[in-house]
Amino acid sequence: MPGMSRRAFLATVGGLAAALQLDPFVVGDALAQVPLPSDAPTTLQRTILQGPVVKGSYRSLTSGPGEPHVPRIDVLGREPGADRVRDRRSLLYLGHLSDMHVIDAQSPGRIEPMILQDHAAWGSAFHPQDPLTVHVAGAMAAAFSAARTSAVTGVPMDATAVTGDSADMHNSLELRWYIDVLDGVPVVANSGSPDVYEGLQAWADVTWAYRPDDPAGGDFGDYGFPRLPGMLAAAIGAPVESPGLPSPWYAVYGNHDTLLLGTFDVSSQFRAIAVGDRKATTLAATAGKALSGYAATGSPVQRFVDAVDTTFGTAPGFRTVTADARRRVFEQREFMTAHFETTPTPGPVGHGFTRSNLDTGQTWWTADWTPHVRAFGLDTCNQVAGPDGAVPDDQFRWLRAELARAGAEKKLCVVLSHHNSLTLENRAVRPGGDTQTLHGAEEFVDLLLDHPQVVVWLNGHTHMNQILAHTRGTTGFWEVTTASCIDFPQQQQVVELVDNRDGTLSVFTTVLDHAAPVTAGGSGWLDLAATSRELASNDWVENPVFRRGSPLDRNTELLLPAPFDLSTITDAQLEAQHAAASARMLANDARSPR
Amino acid sequence: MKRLLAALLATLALSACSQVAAIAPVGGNREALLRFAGNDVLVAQGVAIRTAPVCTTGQADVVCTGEAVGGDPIRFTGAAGDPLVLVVTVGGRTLYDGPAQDVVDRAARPAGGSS
Repeated sequence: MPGMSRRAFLATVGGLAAALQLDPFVVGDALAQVPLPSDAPTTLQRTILQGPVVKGSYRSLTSGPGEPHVPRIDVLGREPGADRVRDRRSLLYLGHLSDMHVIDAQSPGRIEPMILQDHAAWGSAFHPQDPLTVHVAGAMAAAFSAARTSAVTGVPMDATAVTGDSADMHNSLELRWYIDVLDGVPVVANSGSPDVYEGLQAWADVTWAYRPDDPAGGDFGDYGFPRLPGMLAAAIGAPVESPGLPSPWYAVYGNHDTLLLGTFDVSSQFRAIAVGDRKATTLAATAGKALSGYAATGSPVQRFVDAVDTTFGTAPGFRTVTADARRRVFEQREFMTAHFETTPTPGPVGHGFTRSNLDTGQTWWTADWTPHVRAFGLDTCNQVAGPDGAVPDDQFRWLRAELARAGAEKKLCVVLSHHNSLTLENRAVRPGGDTQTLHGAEEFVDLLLDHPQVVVWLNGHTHMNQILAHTRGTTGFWEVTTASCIDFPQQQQVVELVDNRDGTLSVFTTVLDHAAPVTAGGSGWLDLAATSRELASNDWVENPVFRRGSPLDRNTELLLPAPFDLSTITDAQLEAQHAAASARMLANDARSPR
Repeated sequence: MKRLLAALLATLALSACSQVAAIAPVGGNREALLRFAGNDVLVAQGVAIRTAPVCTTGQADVVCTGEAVGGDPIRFTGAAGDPLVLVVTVGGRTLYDGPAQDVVDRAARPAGGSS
């Protein structure tokens, strides 16, 4: 550690070992290692591409060449210095997850048959890979665990951001599964019956769905989707043994964590259906019962539907399943509460939310991830209707004041939200409800541009890799949108802020495939994640391949001018930061089995 | 009869909300498809990019403009229609004129592999 004196090094080792209850010799050995760029598997070494047609239009997947970081100078506006590769030092190494969409596929609280109304419009209601989302989440956690040190500088991961849409259908079990997977707690992805898969994809008469036991007779069979007998039983069988994330992780709300299917208010009727024993198999049953609160709660349409339901009793188009109270629809504030029911490591308890959030109901937060980098976790979700978002005025004014404070304190700023700048125009309000202004993308981007210490805005929502530059004169910031765990390419990313010691910063983005094999097959939990990826890559209504983005949206080096003199941050301070992150990882690895 | 009534009510409810088109988890797919395909063309043909094209979507067309290192203007256009046809020009020279989907499909498959 060239920046830290011997005395400071020993004091750091002793302090961290005591604080984390670790053997000081183990800590000392770990911290004495010179950081070297990691060669852990990322898309720098290998990509996953569409392979040949197997049957009909259905394709397998295959390995492709790795993709190096592509320098982008949109914000910097000039050629970067060649010496930066030699001189650079890491300020923050970060994981970024979004749109995990963990699904309890057997729950009656789902509306899959809506794809019969319009498959393209309702594509998010049903995917052929729905029973395998916990497996993908676990495989993604494994990819982050493998990428725990940077491929650029070798430093350990400081934090991970989770930018929303973690639970798919407001189901308490989905919420618990997602937190447990990221914490490294084994999860059996089953609900209802303990030993029988009770869902649409197991029922032979539901020909419109992909049924892995025998897909013939519907659109998925016609497309060429494979026969995979035993897949559903395997999905609910052995636990998903996620290693958990290697760093503290921080969460924000997504529209699926706020509204039903990220779009609709939750009716009392839907709440009852979710924990009941009848699951809809037809469009009429779903739209007439499960979604009757869809138009607007209390509307004449809904009241009429409810009256018909009461008059005629049980409608056709339902199958009996095992009821499970754990599928309860959670309230908006419970999303925050659940983040306090977590393991001590990787932490932190609350995952960004604090006791103050619980007390006040405020759904956004700020945290110092390192002594020099401050994060802002926003809630851009509309509380009334619609998948897209906006920034409420109270939050907008809070952020403006906090960014001014961060600028005065010479903090680099990372902004997190679920929605991106192309999906921030939803100004739906409830008649007679909250009347505060909802700010859209242009005002929000202007606010961030007012504060040059904002270097990167991380978000998700659109399930694609996308990187946009926002500039004003000689300054600006980068907006980085990551793909999802549900749709192909099932990719997430790691992000690193680097001081080039020449008055410029670089933000490196590196895309991660999850840790499942490229080729599908087998019944272990990682194998099932591989099956999920292949099924997703053939889910034609989602136009899966374009969600990969272009090379300018994947592995990149995003340059921008440093917002202040970064030499005020000493090498010794950064070494102490990296030492603390390394020791946290040691403590996380040394924990008892969960 | 009950089934028919339920379906009718569902249709009424759906049309009353005008949210059907916004249910898919993504918005702006057409613009994104054009931008990704155009960028794929630029990278594949070795264009050094100073400013990656920024897109605006009109009622019918999508237009994206950027700048190459050296100052040549970059322009992507996508006319309304199915398939979305992409035209990529750099400094007035046309680098691609064809379906945008073909570009992203090729980029997602091994070079020289079967299509």
